[in-house]
Amino acid sequence: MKRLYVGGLGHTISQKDLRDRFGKFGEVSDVEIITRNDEYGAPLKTFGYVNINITDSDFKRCVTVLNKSKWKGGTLQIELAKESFLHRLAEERQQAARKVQTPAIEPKDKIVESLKAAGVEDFHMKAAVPGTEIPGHKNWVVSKFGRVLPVLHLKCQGKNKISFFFYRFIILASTVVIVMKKMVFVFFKYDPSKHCHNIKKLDPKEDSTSVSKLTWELDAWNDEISKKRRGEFPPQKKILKKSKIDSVTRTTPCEIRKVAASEKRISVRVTQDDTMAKEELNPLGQKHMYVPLAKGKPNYLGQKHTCVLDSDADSEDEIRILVAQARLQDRKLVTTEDDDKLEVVGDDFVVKSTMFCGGGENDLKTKLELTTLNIDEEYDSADTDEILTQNKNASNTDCLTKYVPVSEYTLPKSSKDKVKGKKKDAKKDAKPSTESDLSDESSSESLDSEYRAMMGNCHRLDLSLADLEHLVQNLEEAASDERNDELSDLTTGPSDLPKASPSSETMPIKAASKKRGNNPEDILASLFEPDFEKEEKKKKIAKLSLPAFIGSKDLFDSVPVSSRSRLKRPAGYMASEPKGESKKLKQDSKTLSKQRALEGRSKNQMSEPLHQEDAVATGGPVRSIPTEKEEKRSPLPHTGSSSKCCSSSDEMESDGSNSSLSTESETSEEENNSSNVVLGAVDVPSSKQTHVNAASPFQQSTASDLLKQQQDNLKRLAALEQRQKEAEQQKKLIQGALSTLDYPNANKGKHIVFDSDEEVNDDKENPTVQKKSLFEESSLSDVEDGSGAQGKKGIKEKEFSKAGCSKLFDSSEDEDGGKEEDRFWIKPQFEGKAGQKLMELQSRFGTDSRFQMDAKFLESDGETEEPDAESSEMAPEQDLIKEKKKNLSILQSVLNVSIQPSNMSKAQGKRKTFSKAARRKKREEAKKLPEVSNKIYYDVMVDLKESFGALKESEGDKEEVPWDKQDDEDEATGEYTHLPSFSSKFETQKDASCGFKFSFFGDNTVSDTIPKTAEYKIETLKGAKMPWHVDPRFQDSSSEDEDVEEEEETKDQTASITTTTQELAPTKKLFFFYEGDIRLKEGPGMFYRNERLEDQRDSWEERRAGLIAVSKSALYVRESVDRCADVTAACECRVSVKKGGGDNCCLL
Amino acid sequence: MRPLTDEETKTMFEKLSKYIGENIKLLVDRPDGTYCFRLHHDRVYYISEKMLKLATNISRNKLVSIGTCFGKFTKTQKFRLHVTALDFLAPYAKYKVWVKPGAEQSFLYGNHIMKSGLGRITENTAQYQGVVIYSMADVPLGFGVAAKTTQECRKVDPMSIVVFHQADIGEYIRSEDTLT
Repeated sequence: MKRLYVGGLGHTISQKDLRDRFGKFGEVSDVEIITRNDEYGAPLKTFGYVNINITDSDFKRCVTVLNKSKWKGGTLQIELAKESFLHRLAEERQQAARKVQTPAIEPKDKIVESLKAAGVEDFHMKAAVPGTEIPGHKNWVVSKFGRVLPVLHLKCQGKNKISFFFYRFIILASTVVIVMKKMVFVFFKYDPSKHCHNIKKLDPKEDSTSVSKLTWELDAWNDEISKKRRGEFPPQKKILKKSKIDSVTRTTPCEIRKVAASEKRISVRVTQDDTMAKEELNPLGQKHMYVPLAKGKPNYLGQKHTCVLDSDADSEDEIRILVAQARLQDRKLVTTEDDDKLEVVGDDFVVKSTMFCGGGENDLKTKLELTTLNIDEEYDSADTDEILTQNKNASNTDCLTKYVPVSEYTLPKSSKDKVKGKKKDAKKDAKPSTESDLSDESSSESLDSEYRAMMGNCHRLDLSLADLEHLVQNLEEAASDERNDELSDLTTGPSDLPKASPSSETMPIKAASKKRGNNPEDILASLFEPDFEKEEKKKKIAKLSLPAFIGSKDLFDSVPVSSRSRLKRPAGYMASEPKGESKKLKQDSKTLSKQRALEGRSKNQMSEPLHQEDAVATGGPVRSIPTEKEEKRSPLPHTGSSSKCCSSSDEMESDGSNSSLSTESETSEEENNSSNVVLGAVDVPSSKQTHVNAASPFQQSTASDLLKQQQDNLKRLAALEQRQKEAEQQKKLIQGALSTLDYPNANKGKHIVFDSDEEVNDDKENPTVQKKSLFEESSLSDVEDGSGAQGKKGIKEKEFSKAGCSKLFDSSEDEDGGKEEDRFWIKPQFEGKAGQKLMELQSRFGTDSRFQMDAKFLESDGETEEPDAESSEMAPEQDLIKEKKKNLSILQSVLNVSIQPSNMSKAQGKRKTFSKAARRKKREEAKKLPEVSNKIYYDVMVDLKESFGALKESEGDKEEVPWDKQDDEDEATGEYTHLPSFSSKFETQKDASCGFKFSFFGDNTVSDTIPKTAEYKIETLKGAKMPWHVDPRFQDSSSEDEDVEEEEETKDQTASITTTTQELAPTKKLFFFYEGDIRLKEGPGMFYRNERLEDQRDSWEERRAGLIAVSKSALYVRESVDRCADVTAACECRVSVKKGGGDNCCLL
Repeated sequence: MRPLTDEETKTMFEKLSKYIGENIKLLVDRPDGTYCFRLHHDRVYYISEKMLKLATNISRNKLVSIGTCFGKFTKTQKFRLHVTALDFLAPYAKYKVWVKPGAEQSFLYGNHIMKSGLGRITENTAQYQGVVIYSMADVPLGFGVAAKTTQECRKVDPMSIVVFHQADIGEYIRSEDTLT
């Protein structure tokens, strides 16, 4: 059975063909044809395998017959093939199956067998215990792992001598060699069976620490990077220091001990090896920790120092602890500081509020407010708006806080005494504070203190008012209970009244203080007083608002202050009046008729001021001065009178005569009213309203329940109070804000705001609106009373209120300060022209006090301006001229030194002469170097062409040269080129200039100036000239060769060109061209280069021929000679070009 | 800001004359207005009279620069030309060197000009003569000093320096902060 490979088969051969073919030689069992195809599917090669049962002879025969025989389009190739892999595989599998059946022989046995075969008998491998010697070999041992290793005898160097000694001794002794051998343990014997490894065993004691402990003490755990990796960033050094200081200062010894203890704990954890290092550290750390203990708190600096060290040395935990502590301490500190602040700032306020309210809430509120205020208090005078708003808020909140207690006063009488006691305390406390405030004010301090003072005043007022009202209530109650009992009540009342009187006494003080120190009021009054005057005059401009307070206005509008409250915004000291009035009211309540009368009177008074204003308008301010003063004085007597009234009324009542009382009250009221009337309309409404408020209930009281009335009364009174307070506060805030503005103002007249006319107008307008609203409001109140009805005005008022006038300023009218009136007169420093200037100067800047300008500025300006103007005109020019001269002289010297012979011996005294001289010099230079200049002149043309696209820089130097050389010509051309751009007008002038230019060589002093300008024109106009010179048409076509040619041409033509241009200049008619334009002549020439090129070619050819001859003579190959000749010719051409092209520019 | 002293003026003019020769007087004595040199913070500015007047309003320490900076005086009182003066000096330059486009960039990066980069040079340029460097498109690129005469330039090998770099317009970017 053989497998034959049959190659070289035709593609068409089938298995059957093969089978038939090989069937002759033997039995064909299997035929396999394989066809290999290329990528397109066409058969490349076909071969087959034939399994045939064939004998060797047959096979030989087959091969001889069939091999290399052609059959069906292919040459057969027959070879014996390998077994089919399938067949082989099957066989292998069979074998494997057979193997499984047969048992596997162990390798050991095999070895043993092999050993036996080798002749080794009884070889026991297992018997080879380490250390057993190999039988036939002397120094060979079986080692621990069954290897056979030699025993080494190593010479031990250290004991060498000794061994030697021993050796000798042994020789001398001449004993047995074996002994000697035994004796010689000088040689170190290394038995491998005894040492399997050279690893030293470690002492088990060394790693005694447990793993868990080790993890805690990893050094890497505490280093910075790992900390950061854990997200624990070390606190910033600065903060650390600070906090540490604090912590140290604050930490009690126990804390420190704690820390120390913790440190110790940490140290305990440390392993023995580490303890050494730790101990080194620990002393440090402990020292640091204990330093504070030892030193105590006072030593801050030292502690700080140590703490800083701590941060470096101590463990993270400690640091953290310290930091945490420090933070806690810091927080504490901060809070305490805040408290301190509060205490410092709001001393009066807090105390009062606590006393007054006795409530923690209010305290807190006020504190908060104070803090906010304090924070924001430091503002420039320019920031009045902000201050006002803030203060406004504050005042509102204050009112809230204050009125809580007021409402609380609707307590049973039993609480009254307590309250009074409190009040007394409050007053006692208040007085010193007011004094301090006074001192503050007198010293005219910062806003802060002023504000505090104001707040203080307000509070005191509130207190007193509240008290008084309370008293009044009580009295009224008593009165309403029984008129007959009034006597007894009032007699008992006096006991209460004296208590109240101190409060009224405080008022005078306050009033006095205001008179003395509280300029703001006056200022306010003064501010609005003039407005008041001019109200009637400028009613039409009513809708314009005061610019400075626009923002504040809006804010105030938004503030829910009722119009009534506005009405009752009399000055702080006016609050005493209502008090008095309330007393009066109480008295009046008994007699309705009288009240009516009073109301009527008040109405009259109301109407009076309304009308009065018009009448008084002119005289008002004048009058108002004294009135205001009166006012200011008045509070003292007034309050006194009121108190007197009280007392007197008491007395009167005790007398039991109502009529007398009423009269008394009338008189008092009249007093009030009169003062009010004189002062202004505002007081009237206030008094009115108080009347209204107080009276109406009492009217009812006769008919309805007393209790209700009381309550109503209380409420109303509270409301009244509130309004008054609000009014006061607002006013004071404004005053305070304005006072800061006005203080410098009053002193130096630096105030700018109201001096300019427009602003004044604005001011005027505002108050007018306000006033109207005021009066209308008063009328409204009248309406409410039912006595008078003025509906129109009410409407009007609404309009005005809508108009958005600043309501804050309503109150100030009553204090029409005549003093400040003079502020609106022309100030002395603003008089005259200079004054006007100053005013302008000042008005340029805002109200900002930082930029206020004195007369100094003006003077300096005024004085300096004129000379400056002169000097600036004259001096600098001269200076510059001088400088220029100097520079030129220096330049001369420099140039002389460096390059030139001194041509400029004539020092140019004047610029003109210099320029002239320079020109001459240039001309001289040009004459000196004529041939150079020729070339250069040509270069100008070329360079202009080059530089035409880029910059005119390259012209500069080259232009100059022609300028030097052909001065007049260039001028002519320049002017000529200049001409086209101008209209025909200038032609005459040009002619003149041209003419002049020709005459230029004659030294006409007169003509000197003109030519110069002409010259300069030329220079400047060169750019414009360029298109003429360098027409792009001519440029583009020109190569280097052409340039050369052009050169020659132009050289010839230059002179003629210039001359022709000069001649033709005046006669030109076309815009771009003129008759006989050179360009027209020259231009075509540039297009006819072929002839010349031909000429050149001829010349080249001649040369070439010559060169060829030369080369021939030099015995070169003909072709190469030709080539060389070409090259050389080209070179020569180039050279010639260079020569022709002028030396100015070397082409490299 | 002050006018230059005589010494300073001389130093500066000597330097400028290396580039523009006697054309300095065209800078000093200008037809279109009065111009002057002013020293400010060791720098020399070329200012028109108008600007000078305006600049008087500015305090000395606040004034960074006015007009055109021509250069600065070193501590040793030598004058060093700045590239900012290029616009004024290039038109009057007497000796020029044109740089091949390939070498332009190299020069603008502050390198000297090799012979290989030299496109064109004014004839008769002396050694150490101040030159204005132009690109082949005739854009002034900066100042240089001829390291070799024109004749020498013909002979030297291509890698030898022919113009020393003094200032180039690349400085507008490279030393923006110091160029004022």
